[in-house]
Amino acid sequence: MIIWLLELFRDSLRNLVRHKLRSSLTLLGVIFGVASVITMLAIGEGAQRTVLAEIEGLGLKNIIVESVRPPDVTSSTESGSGGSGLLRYGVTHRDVAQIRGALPHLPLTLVKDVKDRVYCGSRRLNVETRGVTPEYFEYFDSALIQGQPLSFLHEREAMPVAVLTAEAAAQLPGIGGAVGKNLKIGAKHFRVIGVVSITTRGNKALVFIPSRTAESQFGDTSIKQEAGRMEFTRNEVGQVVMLAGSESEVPGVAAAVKRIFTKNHVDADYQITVPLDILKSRQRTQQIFNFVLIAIACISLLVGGIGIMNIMLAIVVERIREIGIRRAIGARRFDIFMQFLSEALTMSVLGGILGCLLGIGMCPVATAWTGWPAIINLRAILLSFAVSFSVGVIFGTAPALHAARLDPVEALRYE
Amino acid sequence: MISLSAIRKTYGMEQPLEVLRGVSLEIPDNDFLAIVGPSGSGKSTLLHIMGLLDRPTSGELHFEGKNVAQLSDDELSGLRGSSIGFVFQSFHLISHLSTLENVELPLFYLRVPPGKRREIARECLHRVQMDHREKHLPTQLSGGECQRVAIARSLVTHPPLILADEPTGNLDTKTGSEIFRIFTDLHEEGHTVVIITHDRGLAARVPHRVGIMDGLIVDGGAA
Ligand SMILES: Nc1ncnc2c1ncn2[C@@H]1O[C@H](COP(=O)(O)OP(=O)(O)O)[C@@H](O)[C@H]1O
Ligand SMILES: [Mg+2]
Repeated sequence: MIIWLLELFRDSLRNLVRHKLRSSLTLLGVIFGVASVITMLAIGEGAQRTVLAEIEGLGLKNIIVESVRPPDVTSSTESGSGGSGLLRYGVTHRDVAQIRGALPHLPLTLVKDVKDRVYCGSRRLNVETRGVTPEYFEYFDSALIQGQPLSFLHEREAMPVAVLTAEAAAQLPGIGGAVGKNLKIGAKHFRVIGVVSITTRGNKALVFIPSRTAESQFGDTSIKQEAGRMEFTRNEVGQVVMLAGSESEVPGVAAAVKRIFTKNHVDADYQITVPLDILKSRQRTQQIFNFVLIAIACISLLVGGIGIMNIMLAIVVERIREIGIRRAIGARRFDIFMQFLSEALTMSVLGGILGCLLGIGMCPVATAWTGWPAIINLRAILLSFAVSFSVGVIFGTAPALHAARLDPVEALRYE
Repeated sequence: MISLSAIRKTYGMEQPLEVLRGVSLEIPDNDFLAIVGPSGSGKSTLLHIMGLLDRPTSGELHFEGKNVAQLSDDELSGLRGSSIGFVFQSFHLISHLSTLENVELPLFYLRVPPGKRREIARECLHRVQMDHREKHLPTQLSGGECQRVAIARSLVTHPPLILADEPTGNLDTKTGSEIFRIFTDLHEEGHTVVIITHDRGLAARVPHRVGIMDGLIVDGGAA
């Protein structure tokens, strides 16, 4: 039985080799179909993992509320204290107090935004400055790269020290590491003590200083000069980050926080980020994306299959006399059927194998193009293998049946 | 071996052509029968029916005692493979297979393992003095050589019955005579041989002769 199958396969291969050009053109349809499936699935998987890792870095148990400057400045709450007006926006201590009241056991940490410009020597850095407590780093997936972290001592003493993200450290002028360099934030001097990696949305360049330093040195009000007009803004809390006890508690906490903010705020001057929600919607998107990929793959394999069917019908006509001869010397209909089916299968499976190889070969190219890693999983390979096998069966059956049903005498007489 | 009674064969639906119009014939075991007749008289049709390649429109055909009408298509294929050897006027070798592979082919359909197949095929090629050409393709052989290979193929399953449709029709007289010689030998070895021929000289060397004309058997003995 196995020998018989092997012989069928060998004969099919020989027949394909006999018509190299014709066979390879037919194979191309399947090869490209399978190759694109493999590459697309690999890149899709890579993209998904990259994004998921980013979202997970934000902390799946975190709920983050950020202050957002409302887009329309003049319409916002203005109080008459000084100059051309004061714009108040964002998260307030009242919000935080209400969260504490509603969820007394919920750990949270506050982030103070500092709007002042940051210089290192004469170079202005394109960074955002945040006053944070040492716990802040535990809420996120952060790691110390260089130097030392912000400590409780720095916090208690409100020391003028700063920790930079790698993106910010890269902007520092001069050679050597960032640690030990001096920064000027507004009019105040700070010493860089460490570099950390931390997952933020968009991998921002950040400068972290102790929260109390930020409070005492910069306060809540910032001044911006714009076209001769002075603009005062007041923001009490830059961010509040809450940590739910477990992922299942996240939706409840998020809902409570949302209620407080919708009650307290008329303007859209805050933004609530729930990484777990992003993750879930991202996973849904990925499912749709995968579905579309598979649909495209099916279409391209369908085209490849039609190519095989077309060539098989031509081959059957070309070999009618041979079919007659084989029937005369004892071939059953089933034998003829198997002969042609195995030829179709050999083409589709060979196309599948070559397509896999090409797909794997194309992954580095696609990675270079998109910047996403390509992750080839065995499932994708097995899937496309199974699909190309089915394509062979589906599109090889009709021509093989046609061959098997030929009348032996008429086939023998066929010129 | 074979018995035909009132065999009729009609081709076509709209313009029916009755090619065989009631043929009755008894072919005993180890018979050597020559069928002669003009072109288009239905000789090949008759041979195809005897060889279980075709079914008669009406009439009864018994092959080795079995009523062929009751056999399925697969059973007929099986009988062809195991009990009948065909030799055709235009050789009907498969052009992309070597001599040896052509000869082996009937054994493939009897599911004989490859090694054994090769061995038997070589014996048969030796039998027709073609063992030195086993790797060649049919296109590299002369007509006479092709026919020898075709005969080897018909012998490879040791079938009791050999059917030959004008086996010398495409060959010159000398080669034809050599090929004919092989059939006489096969008959002497115990095979039942039915041969269609145009060549009256060759037909004269066959003990049992029937003539066929317009789908009917005419006087058998006439040479
Ligand atoms: N499949 C067919 N359909 C219609 N007519 C056929 C078919 N096969 C053979 N014939 C006709 O049957 C007649 C007998 O053919 P055949 O048996 O080959 O004669 P012979 O072998 O004696 O020359 C011929 O007239 C031929 O045209
Ligand atoms: Mg004829």
